[in-house]
Amino acid sequence: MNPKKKITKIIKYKVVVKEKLLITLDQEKVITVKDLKKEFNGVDILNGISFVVALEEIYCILGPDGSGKTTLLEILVGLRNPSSGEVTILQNDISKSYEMREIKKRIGYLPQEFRTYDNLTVKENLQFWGKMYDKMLPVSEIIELFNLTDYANKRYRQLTFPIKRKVGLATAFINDPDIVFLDEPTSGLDQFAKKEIWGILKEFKARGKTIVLTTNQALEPAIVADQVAIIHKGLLKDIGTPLELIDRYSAGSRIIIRFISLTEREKAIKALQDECPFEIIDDNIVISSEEITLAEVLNKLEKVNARYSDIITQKPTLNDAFITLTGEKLSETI
Amino acid sequence: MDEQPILEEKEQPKAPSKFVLHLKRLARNFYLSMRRIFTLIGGRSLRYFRSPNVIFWSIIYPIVLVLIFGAIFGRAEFQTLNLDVVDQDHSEQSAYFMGLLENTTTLKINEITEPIISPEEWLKENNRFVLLIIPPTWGVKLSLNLTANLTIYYDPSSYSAKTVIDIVNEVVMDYNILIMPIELKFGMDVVYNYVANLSYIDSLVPGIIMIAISTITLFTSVNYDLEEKESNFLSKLATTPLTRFELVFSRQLWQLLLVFIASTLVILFALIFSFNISSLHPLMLLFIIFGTLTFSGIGFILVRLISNPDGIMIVSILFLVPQIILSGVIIPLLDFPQFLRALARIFPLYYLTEGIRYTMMGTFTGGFWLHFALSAIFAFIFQILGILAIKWRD
Repeated sequence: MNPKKKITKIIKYKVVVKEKLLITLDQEKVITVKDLKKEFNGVDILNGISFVVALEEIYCILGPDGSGKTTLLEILVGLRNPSSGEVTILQNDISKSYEMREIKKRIGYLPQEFRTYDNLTVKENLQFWGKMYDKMLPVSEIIELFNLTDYANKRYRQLTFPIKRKVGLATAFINDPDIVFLDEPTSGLDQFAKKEIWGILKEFKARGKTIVLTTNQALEPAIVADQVAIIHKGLLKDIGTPLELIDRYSAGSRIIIRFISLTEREKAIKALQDECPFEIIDDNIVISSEEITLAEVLNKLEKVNARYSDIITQKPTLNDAFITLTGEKLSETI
Repeated sequence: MDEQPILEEKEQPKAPSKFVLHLKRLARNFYLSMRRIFTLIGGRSLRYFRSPNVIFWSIIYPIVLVLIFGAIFGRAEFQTLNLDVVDQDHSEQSAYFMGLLENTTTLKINEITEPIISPEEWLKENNRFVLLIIPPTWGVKLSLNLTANLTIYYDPSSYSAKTVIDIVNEVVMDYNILIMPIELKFGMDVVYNYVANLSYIDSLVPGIIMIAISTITLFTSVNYDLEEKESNFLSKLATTPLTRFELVFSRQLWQLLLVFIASTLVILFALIFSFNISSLHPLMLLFIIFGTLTFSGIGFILVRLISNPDGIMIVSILFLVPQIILSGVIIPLLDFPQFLRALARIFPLYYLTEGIRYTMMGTFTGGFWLHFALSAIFAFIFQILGILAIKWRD
């Protein structure tokens, strides 16, 4: 498609979607979760979760495995019943079955580790999922949007894992939903595939879609999310934009020094111990840049002739905020 | 100028009534529901017909059975079904019983008047296969409401002897019902209408159809449903507007479609071996539906109880194989010890196989209706339990 035409189409589409939604939505709040609790076999999986998701937002639920992210998403899409609390989606109460039926028409969902029919082609699978809904986007359009043209007539089982994941993602958007729920959509993918998926998500956000996704990767929300909810052991720790959370909970940039041997590191420790507080993490010396400048550190190391292999300044990440909030560390790979 | 308002009124389209709008909504919902059901059937069918292994085991396998058994026994027409009877009782009851045997028209009754010292020797010497002895005082015992057994001698190597015994058993059962002190009215006439010149293939086909039904429905149900559950396919379906009814209905329709294809192929291949097509009866369809509902229900239950793919296959095989063996399709039930014959009667496949066999033979006796009723009960119970067992959301 001609890029100019595509942009015009997207803008028109966005206007239509927005108009349509604004008629029904109050203050653009598409999801409201109030004091949500889920107990299973006497264990609290979710404990008093409350948040609001606004229209056209990419809302990221960040937490390690077992924190309750998937359970929360499954409650939102109607797969599980909450023990208590209130959830409204597009102004419909999920606890009322007839209202849930209306919600189902307007949402898309990608479960974790999802597989569709192996022996059907990508096109056939998308047609299959589209026909489960009252309305669907043209399959050719969704194939183009997800860059699946080369695979359209290939059977699902012949595809590589990243392409399968993209097909799964396409099935979540096939019904032209207002809200899409994605459970760890980039899990197990390489950096190129992840970047492509983030690009697709941003494009759909531009089309007026609201996206709620879960992740256990600390860097992902910073790249893609408008709002991040940090969840840990069933508790909602905090909510904010990635920058707000980093500002709120991170101590600033860090200087990380890697040494060629432990003897060299010992020399450096002696030189720095009276100058500033530091930590030893993975055999490296980690210093907060608020305590000392990089130039001062280099000067101290030179004085004691401590030979290092690498020295870097690292900006604070969401992982730092997560560590401050929970005392645990998340994966930071891209 | 005066006419203008009238014109405007005419031009305005009349708003549809609430009833029309409601009807339109109903029609649209019905269309969407049907579209979802047929999309599910289409999806599963495409997946199925593109899997050579699955097609072999579910459709080709029963055909292979027909070809093997047909090649071995297909041309072997039954000899005339002779039944030699020694009436040592000469009572009214024995005469009435022999009359019932004669009425079957399939059996040729030869009354032996000469004294027989050793029935086994007599069978060998006279090259006969079945000998029925009505012992002295049999009629008196019956009239006194005492147990009075008949004795039957037969050559176990003769398949026609087993058919003769089957028919005699039917007559005994009906006669028992007639003379029972407690009135059991089934509301029907006892009519015997056995197909003349039955061949082995004619008695084999109903059994193979039932094996096909049980195998296809149980294994496809277990395989597909478990895979859909494990791959989160079912979870995703549960977040669409699809209803539980649509899901179950589409699965049943799809399995019925497979079962009808397999049954038709079995019958077509059996024609090669002179299968008597006139033995097909519309009531067969009911047994096919009962079988499908029974085994798909069992499949749903197994998927709920066992989540390990290997475990579920082993349990399915352990459940199905004894039923196939004890259904009397491949090995006549008479060849099994008494306890195994009793065991066969707890399995649904036994009643389904016997029922469909009676149907194809046109034998609508009390025995047939018993099998019919039990098959329907099994179908109803397992289907309800199966539907309740389907878990697609918390």
